[in-house]
Amino acid sequence: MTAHPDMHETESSVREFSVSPERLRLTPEAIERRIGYGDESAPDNVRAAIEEMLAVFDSADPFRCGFRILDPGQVAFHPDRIVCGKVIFRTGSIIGRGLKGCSALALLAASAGPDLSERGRVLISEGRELAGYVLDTIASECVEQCLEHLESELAAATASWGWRLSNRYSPGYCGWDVVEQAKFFSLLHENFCGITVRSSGLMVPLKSASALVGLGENAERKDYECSLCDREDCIIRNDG
Amino acid sequence: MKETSSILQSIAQCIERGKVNRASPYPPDLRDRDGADELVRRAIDLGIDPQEILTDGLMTGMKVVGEEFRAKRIFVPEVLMAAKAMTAGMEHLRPFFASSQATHRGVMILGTVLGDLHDIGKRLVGMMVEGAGWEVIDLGTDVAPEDFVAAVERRPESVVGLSALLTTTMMNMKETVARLKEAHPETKIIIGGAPVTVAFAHEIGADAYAPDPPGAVDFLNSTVAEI
Ligand code: B1M
Repeated sequence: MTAHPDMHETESSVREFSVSPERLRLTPEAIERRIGYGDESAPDNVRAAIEEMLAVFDSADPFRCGFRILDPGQVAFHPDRIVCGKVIFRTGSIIGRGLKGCSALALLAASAGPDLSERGRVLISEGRELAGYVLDTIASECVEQCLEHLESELAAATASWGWRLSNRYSPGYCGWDVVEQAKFFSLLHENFCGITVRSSGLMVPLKSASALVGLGENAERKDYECSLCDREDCIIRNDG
Repeated sequence: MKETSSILQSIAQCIERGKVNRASPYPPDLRDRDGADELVRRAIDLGIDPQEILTDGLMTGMKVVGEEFRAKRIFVPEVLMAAKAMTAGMEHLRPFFASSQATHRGVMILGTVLGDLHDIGKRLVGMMVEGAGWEVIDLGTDVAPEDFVAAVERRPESVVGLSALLTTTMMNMKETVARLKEAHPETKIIIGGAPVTVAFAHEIGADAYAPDPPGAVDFLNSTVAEI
């Protein structure tokens, strides 16, 4: 990715990656945390199921993820919305504040594909509910890790331009209505990373995620993001 | 009498701890002991009333599981193990339901609404509702309003449970509730899922909202008390 940021809509502003399972290096501890065990360790049988299903995960096909960069000429930031040509994201003020100082935008999408979920479903229907649930949880963690991976690719691709990255924001979080998912994907080519969006806004495969990241010399990553948010009832609120 | 209460207590403990049968190595401290499978069989052989086995054994254990899950002292895997133990015990009671020697508290028709494919949370609700002595008819995910209506037509005594995980798909609950209430105004409907709120339940005319599976059980049990 060597093109100058003043570029407009070139092939080099869109990148797709194929990420192998070993690259993501999911650990049993991360899966335990995602299930909810926090600092205490999971019961032995859960631990065993996690290890068994991580081996299944390791043999999975690579996962697809990618981003598109909208350069400063293509995007205008406002306190509660982002204007990308004809597309306006009504992100709300929390995200607006988080993107303060940004001049460009990256749209990120990642998918664990349909296979892991399907295998999980089959395991559940065969009476192996625990293994199936664990595999489903691994697929969720995989999507999160793909987004992390994309962020590091994005940082590497834009560092030479002196750009930094903001926090990552997803439709459906921080007051940004998930209904805008369709708009989000209208800025990416059809079937981007194998993802399609239903009229309900649901991405298929289910284990998929989308997010944006602000870019620019003055972009800022904030540590305690939840404290910025006024949604006291948010289930993932973490004021730590 | 003493033997009855001790075996019922052991059954409850097997559910609580997820001890399915003797062969199951989990939990390690109950290794090589009988599980829900063997104990329920033995209770029947001892002539204990099947309804009592269900209420004071299996359901008592599952109630504790619900409380522990709500308090975040246990997580989904433990609930799944408990449900598995419950199923193993219920297998032996099945013939008694057929002959009405044991009865369910009621019927719940459960499904994830149209447009939404989330399954696991809804399944957990189904498991705990079953563990509370209800029959559950799980219609699956992406269920159209007319399919809920048709299911109620087949079992008009049912309570309906709707699940959705996104604010967008949650909107399809509105249509489902409207269609159900139009066709069967007396049918009680409970809704749940991460973005759903009690205010939304009121807004769309659902009878209740539950934040978690034990909440759904509480509501269902309250409808029985009402009848
Ligand atoms: C009938 O009565 C009842 C009573 C209780 C009922 C009930 C019915 N139905 C459910 N319940 C309740 O009891 C169950 C058992 O406790 C619970 O059911 P659950 O299904 O929640 O329980 C599961 C066993 C565990 N729960 C889960 O697995 C969901 C956990 C959270 C953190 C979550 C996860 C893990 C994921 N996600 Co996403 N995700 C969230 C979730 C936040 C949360 N804490 O709930 C939620 C659901 N996600 C959300 C969003 C926005 C999204 N997610 C997305 C993606 C993902 C992952 C892929 C990364 C991952 C897996 C998704 C999956 N479910 O397979 C995207 C959508 C995916 C898609 N395909 O379209 C995306 C749109 C984000 C994006 N832009 O990429 C939010 C929805 C809010 C909204 N505004 O709509 C969300 C609430 C997080 C938040 N913001 O707080 C309760 O809801």
